[in-house]
Amino acid sequence: MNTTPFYELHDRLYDRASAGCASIAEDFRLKRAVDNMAPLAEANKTFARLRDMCAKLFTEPEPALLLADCIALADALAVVQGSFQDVPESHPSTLEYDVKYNKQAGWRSVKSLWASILTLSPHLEKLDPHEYDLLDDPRILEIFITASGEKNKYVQSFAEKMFDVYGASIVPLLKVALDMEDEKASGIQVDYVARLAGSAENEWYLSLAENESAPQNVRIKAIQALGLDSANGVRLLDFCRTEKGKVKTAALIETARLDPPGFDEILKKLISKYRDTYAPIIEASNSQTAVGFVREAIDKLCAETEKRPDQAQVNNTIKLLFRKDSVDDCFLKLLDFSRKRDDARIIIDALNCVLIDDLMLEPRGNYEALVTRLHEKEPDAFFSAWCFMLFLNDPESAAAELKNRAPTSETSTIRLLLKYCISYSQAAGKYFLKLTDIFHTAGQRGIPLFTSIPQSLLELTSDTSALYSKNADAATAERCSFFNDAIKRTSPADLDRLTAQAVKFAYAAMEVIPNPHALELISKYGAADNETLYRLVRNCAVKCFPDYQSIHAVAEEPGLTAEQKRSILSELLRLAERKNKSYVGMIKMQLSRFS
Amino acid sequence: MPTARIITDELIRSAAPNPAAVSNAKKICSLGEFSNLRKTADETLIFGECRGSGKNPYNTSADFSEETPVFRCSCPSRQFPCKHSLALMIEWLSGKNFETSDIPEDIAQKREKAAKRAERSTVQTTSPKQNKSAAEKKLRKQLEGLDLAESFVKDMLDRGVYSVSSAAADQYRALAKQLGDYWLPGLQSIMNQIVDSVQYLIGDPSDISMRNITSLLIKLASTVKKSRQYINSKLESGDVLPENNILYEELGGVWKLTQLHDAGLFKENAVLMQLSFYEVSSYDLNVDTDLGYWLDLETGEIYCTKNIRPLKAAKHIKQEDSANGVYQIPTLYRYPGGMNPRVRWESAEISDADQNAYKLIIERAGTSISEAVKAAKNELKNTLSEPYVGVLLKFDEIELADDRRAVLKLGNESITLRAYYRRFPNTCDVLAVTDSRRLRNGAIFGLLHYIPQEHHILLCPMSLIHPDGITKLC
Repeated sequence: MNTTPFYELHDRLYDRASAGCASIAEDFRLKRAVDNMAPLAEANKTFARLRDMCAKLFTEPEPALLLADCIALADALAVVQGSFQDVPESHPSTLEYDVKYNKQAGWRSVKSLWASILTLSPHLEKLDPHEYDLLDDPRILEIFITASGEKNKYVQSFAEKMFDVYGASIVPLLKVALDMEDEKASGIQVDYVARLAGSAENEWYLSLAENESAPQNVRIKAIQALGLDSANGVRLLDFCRTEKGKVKTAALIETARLDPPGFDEILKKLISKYRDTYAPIIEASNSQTAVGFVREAIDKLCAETEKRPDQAQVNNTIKLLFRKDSVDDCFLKLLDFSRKRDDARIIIDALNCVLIDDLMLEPRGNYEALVTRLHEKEPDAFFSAWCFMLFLNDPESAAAELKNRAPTSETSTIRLLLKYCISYSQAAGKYFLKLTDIFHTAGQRGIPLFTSIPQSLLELTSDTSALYSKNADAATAERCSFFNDAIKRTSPADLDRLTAQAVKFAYAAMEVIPNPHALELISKYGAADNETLYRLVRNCAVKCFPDYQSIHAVAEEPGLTAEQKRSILSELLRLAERKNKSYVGMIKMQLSRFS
Repeated sequence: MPTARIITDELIRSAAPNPAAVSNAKKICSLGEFSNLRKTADETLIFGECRGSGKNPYNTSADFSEETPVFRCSCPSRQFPCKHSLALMIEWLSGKNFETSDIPEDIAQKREKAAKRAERSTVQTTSPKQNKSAAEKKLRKQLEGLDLAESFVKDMLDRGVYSVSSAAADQYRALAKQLGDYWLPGLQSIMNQIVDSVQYLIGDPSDISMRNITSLLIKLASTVKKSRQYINSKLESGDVLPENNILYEELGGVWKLTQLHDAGLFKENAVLMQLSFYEVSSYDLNVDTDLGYWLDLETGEIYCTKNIRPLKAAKHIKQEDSANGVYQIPTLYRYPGGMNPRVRWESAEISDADQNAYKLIIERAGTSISEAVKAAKNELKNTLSEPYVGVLLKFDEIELADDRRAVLKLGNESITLRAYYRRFPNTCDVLAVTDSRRLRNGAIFGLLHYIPQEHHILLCPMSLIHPDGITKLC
């Protein structure tokens, strides 16, 4: 049966509802549609009924409700006529994961994590323990794949957790998720694929890099991924010759790392008209040409007599030493240079940072030898890098060495170590050494360390030398911030031990330099009795006055009664009236909350 | 009489006010905060002392002597049951040693009081006497409201839907409010959808939006017509009390379980398993509904549960969550309705679902797409029904297609899978990332719906069932 006349009538009825019933008698299209229903009406009683009802529309004085009845009947008929047979072309899925699907996952838990991914929430960095069981749920996988193009640190941190669960099996999904239509696409999925599949996806990277209509970031990421395989050197060299702008720069950096035959000429050409923007290319290369250029730059810096080089200039030159493994003389020369300056400590820290970054890039091999040689010659200056190297091999003894050898005023090594090491992956069941920003993420995920924080390292966290150092205020705040961060990133098994160290450090800090950061740690984790807490909050508020954060800390401290908060705030009010009247209004406002 | 042996992971999860409470309870157990774990000889009561932030440990107990477990704890938490009660059950489930002891005196007294209360309530189980004259008065008032709604439809269709303007949205909203005053919540809900669509129209005056508003107007007109017939027939017959008719709820009626029982709308000893769960927000975002679809493992019927939570009262109503176990329900109350009638129950014994349970679900699944569609069409063409019908079907294979679609193949038949966008998330996107082994030889629970623009019936996939479990897609 040809039902086209029926659908034609159905549409006309809707059109009439949109246009109104005022001119329905003159609607010749509707009339024609009704007339065309004749064959259907003969074949079927319901179609006949619809046709008859519609025919009355032209004579009914008030047809609105009749029109509604006609549409209702037509709607019902349309449902009855509805077909399901015409299906689109389809293809079978080939995805397979080696995961144990958690069928017990509750909808609300899934929804909560789903919403965190959708809103790129900071919560993604540290999930609740039960949420790790949700990672293998396809609903979470789907929303993660949708969000995978976001250049957001929380999503990237979440991505690590997903990779631990799925491994390389989600590579096809990441490839499909790459948005080639969006000019501003981050292309971060290419990084993820590179991390999971490495050079196995070389052809895909190459197709993206060669695709001139692909978004720029995607091409850059593809070129960076090509840098994972030394066999791509010649192809990258072509990109150096044919591309422009940021794509060319990315190609130059990757080619510099691989150093294929023919690149030396390009490098010499770049050096001949050197600009600061070429620094990343020099940093990436370990060739003799690059080393020669760096030597010259350092000689020039050290020989500068007319104008004293500023801090930025020194730092930029030091950074050029990155990835160079036979430049002992340069390090030693810069060390000598630093001794003539009042910012020696900063320069030495920068030199150690370059060595640490080298070690993170390649923990074993030439950089290890370089650090060992430098440490033998200048044990104090290169202690941080050496200790770091020791840490990668034997964390326990590195911590002990650090405790024995580091002078009490020396906090930078401890700071460096703590900054990088406490990052626990629940899925992998291990701590990882975090990589710094200087690494692009292709193929990198951090260096695996230990399953539980060694006791000596743990004790080091509460080392109080920072409290007596030159910049004690900043150092104490930094350590408290470390604890706040590390407690979130530690393993459940280490949580109590680390929390105990945090509380120990915080109590010590409150004795020497009362500050709101340490107070926060005690309040959160210290289980202090009310009397002690009151004393600490009061001391901090009075000694730190005038300080907005301390006043706020009094008002927001959950462990104090309203009366206690009133008492401290009244004392601060008296202080403000005497010393700094600009705080009076704010304190009064806080006081009014507890009156 | 139930005992503590009925404790399962699913019972703990379903009793918990939220997922975080279970997580916190597990933490309590891992920290070993419980001491003096005891049970009564008949194992109807388990109790213990839990160290908390207070000076004295909390006395926590879980009492299974009644149909539904009773949780008691001396902690100050407002959550019910608190994390300590949940932790106590986790301790039991983990096989910790509970020493046999006498029932504490305070709990014995509470049990006695509860027994007396239960006795009193048994005496009062018959439905309270209905006030016939009040019911008649209400019906007449509703007729006035129907006139109001009808004149709105007439006016709109006379002037034409194109004449709708954003300025009229406030006027329509006022009308929606008035319909509520006439005890016509069903019509009020449609009116609210019209207001919502009119506001949407401002940004997108496309034909589809116009058609959507017209469809809602037609739905309103049909509901008015059917409601008027229903009320007039009731007034003529003089039988103004609730009856087995879907319109009773549309006209503001609220079924009590005793009324459902009196109307014969109940089943004893039902065994259900949940197929799908989702929280649906109303068009005006004022009401959230926890919508669950359940399979009767004996008959293969598909029911739905609706936990309606108006935002104003949200904090007083427990949010429901998805359920994984097998629910043995002594008395299942069933609302009037078509293919997926709403059900409720007061108590249930929950056991963990095993392979046999999932296999049984697959056995109950339909083997013909055309038959399922034919049955669904009868429901879909009714303007008073939901615009989708839950069905359970076997499948040989599900293949992926363009435009966020998929194709389900069963024997010689196939049907397009596509999400029902207006209410549910795009479940086909989830299918596209699902392990391909789950897309072969299983059963699917989905919602059949009609797309007027394409003249097609499609299936919105909600979950896949295999012998090892259910893959939820939304």
